[in-house]
Amino acid sequence: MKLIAASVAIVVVVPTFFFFGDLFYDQNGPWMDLWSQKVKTYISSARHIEQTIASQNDKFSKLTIPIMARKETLLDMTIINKNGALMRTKKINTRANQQRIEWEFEPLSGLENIYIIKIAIPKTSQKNIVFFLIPANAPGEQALIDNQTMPNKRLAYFTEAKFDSIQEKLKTLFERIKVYKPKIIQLALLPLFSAYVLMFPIAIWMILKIVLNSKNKYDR
Amino acid sequence: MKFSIFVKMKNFITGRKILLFFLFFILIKGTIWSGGISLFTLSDEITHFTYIQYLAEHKELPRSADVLAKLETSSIDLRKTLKILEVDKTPLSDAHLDFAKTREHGNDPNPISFHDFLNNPNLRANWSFSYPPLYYAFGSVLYIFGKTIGFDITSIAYLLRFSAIFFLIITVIFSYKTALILSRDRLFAIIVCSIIALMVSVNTVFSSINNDVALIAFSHIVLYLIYRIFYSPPQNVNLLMVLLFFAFLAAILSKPQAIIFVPLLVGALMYNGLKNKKLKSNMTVNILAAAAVSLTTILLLPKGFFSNFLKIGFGSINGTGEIITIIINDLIRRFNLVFDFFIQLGLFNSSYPIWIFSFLGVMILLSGLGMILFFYHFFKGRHSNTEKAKALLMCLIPFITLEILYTFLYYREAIINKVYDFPGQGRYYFIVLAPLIMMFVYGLQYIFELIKVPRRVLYYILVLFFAFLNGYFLIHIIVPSAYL
Repeated sequence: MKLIAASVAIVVVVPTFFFFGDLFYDQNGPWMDLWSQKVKTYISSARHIEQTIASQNDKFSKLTIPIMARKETLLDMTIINKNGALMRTKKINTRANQQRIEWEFEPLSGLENIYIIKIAIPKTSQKNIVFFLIPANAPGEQALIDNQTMPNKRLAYFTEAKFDSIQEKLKTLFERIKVYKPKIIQLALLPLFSAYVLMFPIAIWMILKIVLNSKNKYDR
Repeated sequence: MKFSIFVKMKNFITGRKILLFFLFFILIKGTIWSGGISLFTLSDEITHFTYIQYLAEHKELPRSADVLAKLETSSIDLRKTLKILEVDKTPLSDAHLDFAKTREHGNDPNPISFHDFLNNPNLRANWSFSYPPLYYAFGSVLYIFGKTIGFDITSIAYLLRFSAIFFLIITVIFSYKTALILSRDRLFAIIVCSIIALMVSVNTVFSSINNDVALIAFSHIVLYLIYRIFYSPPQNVNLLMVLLFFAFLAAILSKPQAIIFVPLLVGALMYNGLKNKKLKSNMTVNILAAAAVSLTTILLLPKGFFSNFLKIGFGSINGTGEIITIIINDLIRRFNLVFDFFIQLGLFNSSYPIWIFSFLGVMILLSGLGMILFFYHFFKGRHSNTEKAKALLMCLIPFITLEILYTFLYYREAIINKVYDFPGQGRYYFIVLAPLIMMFVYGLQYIFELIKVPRRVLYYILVLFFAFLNGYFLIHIIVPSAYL
């Protein structure tokens, strides 16, 4: 009984923990699933990378860039606005075999704002790290690598926004879940979700109980 | 009389409390998934919806020469709805696709952008118009019903999504019955249908407007009836034959992939005829049914199906480099498919945590190894579990037939159109969902037997893992997708 209770608790509590523990939302950008991108270019030995981006969310708080790091590398990362004013900066140390750079910073507010990401790689480590380029849709999106424009290529990255609190996350979810949904669905979603939250542990409990009792009843 | 019906119903419910609870749970879960995910963001939903709308509005199959002109008049409301969804960035900002950019750059090559669907009727529907009409006819009944009671396009589309849960329930029930026939082990059958009901990829498909849902459900009825015929004692199977014929008809009228059942079906009838030689009427019915099935299949397939199907221009291959590319991509495709089968979420594929891939990968690897070892030991005489060998073979046959079809289609697409990822989605294999899950569990069972770990430990781990995945994906990906 205790084993089943513990198992059901894990199944229910851990995913909920993930939900409450993650305040980031609105993933946006040209890279979502890099490995499914048909055309990608590997950039190694770069010293300076510049990429213009437009923030798609009001609380731009996180930048994720896929990489392949061969050895430990210290990167200088900067975000400037279109007037050249420094917005955020950080030294990021990547470990060997690291697959992505995740940079969290204080939210930058304002929708559709244009920013430039600058990445400086020390000369001694320039061969230790690989970045990815994917097709650009417009000239303004082209990446600048060591002062050379990459024709029709942009850096693979995505941006995320961050809620101030879990209450804000729940409130926004509750509002947005109703967007473009018929009234009946808007009304039914909460009772249905409550029923689900109640039934899911019971269903798993019942199956696990059947499994544990199987020695006498069900195993041939 | 009324009293007796009431008593019967009461007995039926009392004896099946657990089953009914599970079915109700699947219904609630399905409603949350299909109601929670934003409309038209699941695979090809717009296309399938357009077909349904065309049938309902024009009361004819979209086969005439002026089909595109007619489509423009009947899909005005749909295009208005798509336009609302497109221009408002809020519902699309988390779609893991750059819809905002698509709006800015009208020529974006992204094949699944709302912009393209909005402006290109060929893309919006034309390719699906050659599909058989059963699912769309069913959908058009719901469409007309919705319209009669005053539903708008969005409400009708959600109604169609919810109807997919009905097909999910059929699939789960017949997966259970199939597993029970092959294994004669109730617990095994419960585990198989629990995994199916908890698989996130299954939940996603059965939350969408797609003819796959009908194909999968009817295919599982076909599989169940075929296995019934294989496993039936010497007796007439005339009624089963009639049911099988209609189930097959429904499957192939949902999607042409059901053609893979023809060899299995004819094989079952021949086997049954030979096994019951003395039952002359049985044999006659079987032969007639086999002929009817084959003939129906040929008649139902679209005109020029075989001639187009077999056209492969080997001359277009550009040297050995291309041959190597085609083969390497085939291997990559298969590797991806193994994972996709269990965790594909349509447009919501994100970077899943590595532990999901690691655990799933280990389970799949062990299962494959278990099956190989099982047959190796079987032929070496180290065990004589003929019943399980027969069951595994029964699961393998439809899978191999499907694999032959898909491998052929892959090479055909790769050679002619230089497309290297078709069929690249796990859901294309759901036509043999139950047999694949049975093989998965059987393989693991054998490994656990070899290392002398009780079977229920395996079952416990499996249920826990898939339940966890279901909760994790719902809370971590599906619910946040409501931020769309």
